[in-house]
Amino acid sequence: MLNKKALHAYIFGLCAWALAIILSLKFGATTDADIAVIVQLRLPRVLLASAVGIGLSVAGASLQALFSNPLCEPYTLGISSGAALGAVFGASLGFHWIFGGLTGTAFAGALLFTALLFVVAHRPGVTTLSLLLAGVMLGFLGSSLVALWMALSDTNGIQGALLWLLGDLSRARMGGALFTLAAAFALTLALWLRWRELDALLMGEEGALTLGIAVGKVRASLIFTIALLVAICVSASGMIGFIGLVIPHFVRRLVGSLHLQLLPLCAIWGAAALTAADVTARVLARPYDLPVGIVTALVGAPLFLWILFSRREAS
Amino acid sequence: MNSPVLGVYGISFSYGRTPVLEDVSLELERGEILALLGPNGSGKSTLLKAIAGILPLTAGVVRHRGEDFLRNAPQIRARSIVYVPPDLHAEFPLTAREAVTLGRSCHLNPGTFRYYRSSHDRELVREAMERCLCWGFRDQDLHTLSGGERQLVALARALVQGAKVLLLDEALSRMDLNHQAAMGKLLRELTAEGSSIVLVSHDVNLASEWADTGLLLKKGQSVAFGPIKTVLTEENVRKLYPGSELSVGASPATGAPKVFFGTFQS
Amino acid sequence: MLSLRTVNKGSTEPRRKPWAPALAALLLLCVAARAGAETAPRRIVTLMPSLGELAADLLQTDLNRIVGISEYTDYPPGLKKAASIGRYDRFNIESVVALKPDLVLASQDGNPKDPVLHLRELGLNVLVVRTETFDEIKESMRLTGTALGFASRGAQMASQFEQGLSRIRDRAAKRTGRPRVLLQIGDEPLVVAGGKSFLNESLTTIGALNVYSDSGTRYPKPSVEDVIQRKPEIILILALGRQSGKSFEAAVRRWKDFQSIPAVRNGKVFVIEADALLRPTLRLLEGLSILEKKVFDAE
Repeated sequence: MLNKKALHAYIFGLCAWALAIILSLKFGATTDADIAVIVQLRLPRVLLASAVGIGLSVAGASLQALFSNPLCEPYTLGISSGAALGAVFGASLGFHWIFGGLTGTAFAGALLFTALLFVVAHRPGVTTLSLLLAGVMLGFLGSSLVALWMALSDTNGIQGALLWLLGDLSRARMGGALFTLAAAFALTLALWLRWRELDALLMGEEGALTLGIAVGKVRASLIFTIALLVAICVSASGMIGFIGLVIPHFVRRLVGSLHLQLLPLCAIWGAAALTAADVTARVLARPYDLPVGIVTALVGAPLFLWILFSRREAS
Repeated sequence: MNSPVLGVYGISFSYGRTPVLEDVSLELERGEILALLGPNGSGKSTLLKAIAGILPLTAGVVRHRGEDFLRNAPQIRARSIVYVPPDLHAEFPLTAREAVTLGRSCHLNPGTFRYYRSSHDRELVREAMERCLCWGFRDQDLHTLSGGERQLVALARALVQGAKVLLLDEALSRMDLNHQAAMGKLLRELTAEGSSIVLVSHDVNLASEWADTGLLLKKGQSVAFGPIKTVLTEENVRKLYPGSELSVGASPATGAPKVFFGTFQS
Repeated sequence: MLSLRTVNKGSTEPRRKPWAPALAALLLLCVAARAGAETAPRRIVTLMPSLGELAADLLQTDLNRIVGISEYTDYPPGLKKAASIGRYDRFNIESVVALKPDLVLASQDGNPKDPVLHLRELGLNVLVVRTETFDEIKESMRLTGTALGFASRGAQMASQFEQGLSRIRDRAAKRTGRPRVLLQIGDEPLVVAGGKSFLNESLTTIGALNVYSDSGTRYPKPSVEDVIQRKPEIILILALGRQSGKSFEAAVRRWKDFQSIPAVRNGKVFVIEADALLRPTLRLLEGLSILEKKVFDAE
């Protein structure tokens, strides 16, 4: 089913990704960097940016299908607040190493919230809408607890953790980046294999039932896989916004909403977008590292508006 | 005696504490069209959804070809009985053809990477859309289509899904007259091919045009069930819509029972 | 300094016998000297302004050995030529690595932990010092001195520091009153020096009492009501070098509303130049005497 549109989207996407990788290795905070710098510092960063770009955009696309809601994005379900809570907890215990203690506690926090959501999703009579609201509330709860913790405790270590929670790819190390990439691939594959269910869910909860999907069970296991993916991304690089929201909409404009094409293309374009955003963040304000979330927001918001309004014109 | 293709016995359903259906039963033979009629809020849509397994029953049993239908997994159920909604709505861009292709979902085994197992499947989609007069706008986005056009797409999807029992929930209501006529004809063709259909319609005359049997519902309870000419009488119509001036007569064109405003001057 | 090459050339000359032992001794001396010189770092990056200051004080003349400094390192002025590696709380790892330093100076109180560890993982030689108490400050002077290859200077600086402190402590011991002081370091929100900061130690060293010495955190954010309850006799607002004078006048004026506070009633709300007080280096002694004057001459 590889039609012309999809083929073009794949080619352009892969080229964009490759270009972003090359630029990312060539440019950075310093000019005339030598091979050591490139391999030790920039390569892990590129790998992490690709991994998180893949993870966030695929998670966003899947969530949007699952809840039949165009405004869903990876942080809607409150998983990221769980990670934030875990990170803050870890920081106050004295953990500081990303991909070690701090990522561990962040991931644990995210998993806790995932488990809570999973339990809620399994209760009989829970509609998709109430599940969505439960996730949003969980998110608020998590953020408030983080704010409380911040207000009560001594700021130094926690400030460090929080800067990262605003989205930070600079702490990338080779081992952790490779692990995140592998995990992102694996979970993306797991979601891709469920393209049929995600497609059916496009017609809504009732629509999916008429098409023969066991919505209750499917919903619970999809949420678990998606939450795991989000947990891994947030634990590795903090909360980077807009990728999970805008990339799926962008790709749908290119090839439509069916997930057989949508998910892999989201992965490719997501990786390209975040890698490009990262190199922009690094180069724009040399020698400072702009938080990459600023670039994704500055580009993402107008892009989203364009997608929105051009869709209206078409109808 | 053969068991009916669809047998619904003693169905009850409540939304929370509010009872919506109380002890409703019906039987549908192979090749039959059953008109499900009644005023607003009588539970017609709810009954169809309950039969299809979209809403959980409080009591009662649904038998398909004699077997307990709701025991099966949704994927198996979708291959036998298909519920056709009054409208197709997707929050995301979806072309008419893509929406119809989704009907193949229940036939796909895990591990497949395409909706079409062969060119035969692709032909199936094309045939269904041509029969339902929606092939012409196959590449248009669903939300750019009119309500009636979307209903044509929904019918095409039901055909592609391949289930032999179709539960149509107001599925012709928004179509233009010419399309309604054409689809009515299509329904008769389908029954000749072995399908069985339950047709819910708010518009009594639309359903009675093609129906063989009828079930009249009022406030979740069955008022009458049987051949359409027996069931659609003035007496029953007044039971359904008390205090209104309505008469029943045969259509001059086809002889089907029709409801007319006012009383006959005789 | 003799290089090994010239010595080697000398040793290949045919007339060896009488010169051999002398040459060998000279050789050894040169190797030792070179080895000694090689251990002293020649490319230093400091991740905190105070460490830049400390390193500069210890190096004295060879300031161009400091190749990288954090933003806002302004003392001594000679350091400003070095490349900036970003702010101390968000320094750029790539900039540090690109400078190819053989010594990086970091502080546990100020630099974020993970990036500092990352530098170590990348194979850089990183010295992390603690400067939370006066004892730790003294130790940091010794450690930094040794790392820079000037162990004696480091020890000397530490003892200078200790002597300065004892002089101040002696003066304090001779005074009778212990004024209650509020040390304000931030306005809107109100941030004060708590029990765990070395500002607290500064106050106790000069013989004053920090009204927030019982606080478990370093920089608590109390409400004004709480301040009123603690009745400070003197309020000192620390002015950091780069901030404008106007914001401090505003802070002083804000206290005027609360006449029930003894410090406000008696007109003892002052702004003091804080830079020297906040750097854990020898300049701290200057800062302490400024603090002393303000607190005790005001009485």
